[in-house]
Amino acid sequence: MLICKYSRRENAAFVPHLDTLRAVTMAIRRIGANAQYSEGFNPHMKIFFGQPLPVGTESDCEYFCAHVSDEPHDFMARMNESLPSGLRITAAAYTENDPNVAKLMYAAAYTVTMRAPTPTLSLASAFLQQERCTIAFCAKGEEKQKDVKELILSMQAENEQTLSLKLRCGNVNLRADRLMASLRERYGWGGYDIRKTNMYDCTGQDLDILLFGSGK
Amino acid sequence: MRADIKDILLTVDKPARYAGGEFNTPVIKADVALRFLMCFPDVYEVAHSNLGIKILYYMLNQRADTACESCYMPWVDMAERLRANGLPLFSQETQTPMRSFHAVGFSLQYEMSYTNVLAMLDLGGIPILRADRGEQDPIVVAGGPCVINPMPLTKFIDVFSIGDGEEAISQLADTLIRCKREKRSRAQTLQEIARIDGMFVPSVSQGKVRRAVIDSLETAFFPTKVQIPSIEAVFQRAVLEIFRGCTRGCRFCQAGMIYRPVRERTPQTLRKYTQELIENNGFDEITLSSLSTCDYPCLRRLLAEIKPICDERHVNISLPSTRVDSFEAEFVASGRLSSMTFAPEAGTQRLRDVINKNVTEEDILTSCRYAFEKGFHSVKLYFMIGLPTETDEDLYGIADIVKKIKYCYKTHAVSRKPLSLGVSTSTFVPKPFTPFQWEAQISLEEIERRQSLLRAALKPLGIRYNYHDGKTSRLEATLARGDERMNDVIAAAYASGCVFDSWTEHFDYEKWMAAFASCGVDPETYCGAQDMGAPRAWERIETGISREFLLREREKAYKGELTKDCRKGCNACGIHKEYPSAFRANCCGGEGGGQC
Repeated sequence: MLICKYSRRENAAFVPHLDTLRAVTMAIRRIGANAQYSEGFNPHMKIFFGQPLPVGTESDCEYFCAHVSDEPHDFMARMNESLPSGLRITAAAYTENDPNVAKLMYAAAYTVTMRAPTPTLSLASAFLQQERCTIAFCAKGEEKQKDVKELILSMQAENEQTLSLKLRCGNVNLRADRLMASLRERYGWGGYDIRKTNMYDCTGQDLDILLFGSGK
Repeated sequence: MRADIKDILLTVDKPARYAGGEFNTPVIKADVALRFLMCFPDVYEVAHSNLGIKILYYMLNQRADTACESCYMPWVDMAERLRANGLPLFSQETQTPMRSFHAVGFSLQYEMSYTNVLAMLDLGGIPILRADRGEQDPIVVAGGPCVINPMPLTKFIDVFSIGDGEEAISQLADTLIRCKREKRSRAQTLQEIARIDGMFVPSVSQGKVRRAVIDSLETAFFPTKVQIPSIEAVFQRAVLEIFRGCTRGCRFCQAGMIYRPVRERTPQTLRKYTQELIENNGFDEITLSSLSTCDYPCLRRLLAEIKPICDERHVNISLPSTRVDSFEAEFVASGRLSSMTFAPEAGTQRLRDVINKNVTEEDILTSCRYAFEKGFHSVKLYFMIGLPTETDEDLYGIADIVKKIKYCYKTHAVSRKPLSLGVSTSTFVPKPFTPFQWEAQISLEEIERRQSLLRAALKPLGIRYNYHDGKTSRLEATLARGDERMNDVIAAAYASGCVFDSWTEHFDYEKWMAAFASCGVDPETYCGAQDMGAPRAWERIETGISREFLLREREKAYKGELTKDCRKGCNACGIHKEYPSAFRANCCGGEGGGQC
C-alpha cells in the first residue's frame, strides 16, 4: 500500500472531490499500475482519500492511500506524467496500513494571497480579538451565522497582500473560503487566492513528519 | 487562469465545466494559419459524450497549420455572469474570446439545441444573423445529423457541412487557409467553400447539395486519445466506433437512412484502437458504438480478442443492445451489466411489421429467458407511440409483452431479487429522408391520451413507466421538417428567452407557440401530413437515398410488408447510383468492411 501526498492547484482546484478521485484512479489505470480491486459484482479500485477540499481552494497538502504494489518513487514519477494539469504527487511512501489522514488531521494552515495590496488586511487580527467571531455563510441554500472563534487557531497579516491562517479541520472544521468570504464582505476586500499549505495532528505535528518521516 | 474569470467561477455551479485543463488536451499551437473553435450547443457533460466533435477536434489539431479549441454552452448562471461582467464567451483551452477565431463550428445533434446556438453566438459577440456579419467575424459552420435539413437555420449559419465530416473538415481547413493567404474577402471565401463536396453555403449554393460520404471507415481518422472531462460526462466511457450506418431499414429511423452505406472497421483495427483507448485514457468502461452493434458480422471474434485486453485493466465492455433479435445474451450475461435494454418500438407484430422492425415477441422472450437464467433481474423496454397506423390495440400490446416478460421471470429467474422492469415511450417524430417523412404526427391531445391509456394499462402490472413530454416531440417534428420560415421563429423564440429547450426545467412551450404566432407560421403545417406531390424543403439536400425508394418503403409499410436487411441483399435504396465507389467498397460483400 502507498501513501501519497498531492497538490491540487489552478484549474484542478475547481474540480470537485469525487471527480478528483476519479481523475487519480484513471491515471492509475492509464499507467498500468498494479492496483487491487474490491471483490464483488462491481469491483472498484481500492483507494482512499482524505476530507473533501472546497471547490476553488488550492492545496499543497492532500493525501490519498492506494492499494498498489509499485515502487513509490517510480509510481510517483509515472503518475506525474499522467495526471491532469494542476494535480501533482509530491511524496509517496510504503505504508502497512491506511494511516487514516481524515482521522489524524486536526488543523490546517492556509496562505491567502490578495490580488492587490490591501492595507486593511491587518484588521484580521482585530476581528480575532473580538469576544465572538461571527461569520455568515450559505450552506445547502440556507443563510447561516456561526461563532467561529474557537476554530481559528491563528490569523495574521504577513504584509499588505498575504494573510496566514491556521484553522481547525477534520471532525470540527472551518472552511477557509467561508471565513474569507465573510471577512471580505465585512472589510470590503478585493479578490484573493486561498492555498492550504500544511496539515497538523492534535499535537501540532506536521502530517508530513508523521506520514513520511520528514517535513519536506 | 485569469483573475476575472477565476472570480466568476467561484460564484457558479460546477465551475470545472469552464476551468479547462482536461487531461489529453493537445498543445494549442500559437502561430498558426487557422484558429478553429469547435462548439457544442449544450453543457460540458453532454458535449463530452459526443464522438463526432472529438474526431474533428483531434483531426484539426493534428495539422501543423491549425489550432482547434473547444467551447460549450454555459449553464444559465454562467451565461448571466458573463453578461453581467461584460466578458465574451471564451474557449475552454486558452480562454480566447469566440470572436477571435477564424471559424466557429457547431455540432447539431438534436433540434432542441437550436436556440443554444444563437445564445452561444450572442454570448461570443458574433452577430446572430449571417447577413450582419463582417469581414472580421468568424465564419460560422454547422454539422451533425440535424443539418441533413439545414433550411430552418439558413439565416444564422454561413456554412453547413452535410454528411461525414472527416474529409470535409480537412478540405474546409485547406480552403480557409488558402483564402486567408490570398487575402480573399468573406464573400469570396464562402464561394470557395461552396465548391467542397457536402458543403451547403446558403449565400452561394445553387440547386441540390450532395451529402459528403467517405468510402471507408477503416482508413478514416479515429481519435484514441481523447480529452478526459474534469467532471463526469453523461456517458463517461471510451467509445469505439465499430461501424457507421445501419442495414436494418427501420422505416421511422433517420440515422438508418442518412448514414448509408454501412461502413465497417476490421476487427484487427478495432483491437488496436481498443488497446490504445485503454492505455491513453484510463476509462473503466468501453462501449462498442454503432447504430446496431449486434449486427456487426465479426462481433464474436472482436469480443474474444478485446476481452483479455480489457480484463487486464479492469475495463468493462458495454454492448448497446437495442436490437433484441441479435442480442448477444451469452456475452452480456458474462459481463458486469446488471440491466438489459430492448427496443421493440411497437407493441404488436402488425405494427412492428409496418415499421420494418424485424423483431418478434419470441425473440424478445428468448433473450429475456436466457438472461434471467444467467441471473439478470432488470429489464428496460423502449417503445414509440404515435407510429403510423397505430391503434389502441397496439398500445395494449405493450402491456401484453410486459405481462409475458413478468411470467418469463417467474418461471426462469435464478435471481432472488424481484424483477425490475421499466417501460419508456417516446413519441414518433416524422423525420426527413425516411419512408415516413410525409406522415402526420399525432396531435398533442392524442399524444397525451395515448400516454394516459398506456399508463392505465401498465398500472396494475406494477412497473415503472416513463414517457417523453409530448410538447417537446411536437416542436421537434416542426423543427425537423421546417423550411426557411423557421429561421424567424427560432430567432423570435430566442429573443423571448428560449434556451436549453432540451432541458425540461427550461423548455417553455408557450413561448415557442407565441414565437410561431408572431411570425405568422402555423406549426401544424409542419407536424401534419406533408404534400407528396411537391418536393419538401429538405429535398434541397441529396442524401443518395432516392425518393422512389422512400415511396416504395412507405407503400410496403401500409401493407405491413417487410424489407430485408441489406446485409442479406441489396434493396436498391439509391446509394449505388449516387455513391458508386462507397457502394462497391461496402455493400453486398464489397471489398471493404470486416470479413471474419
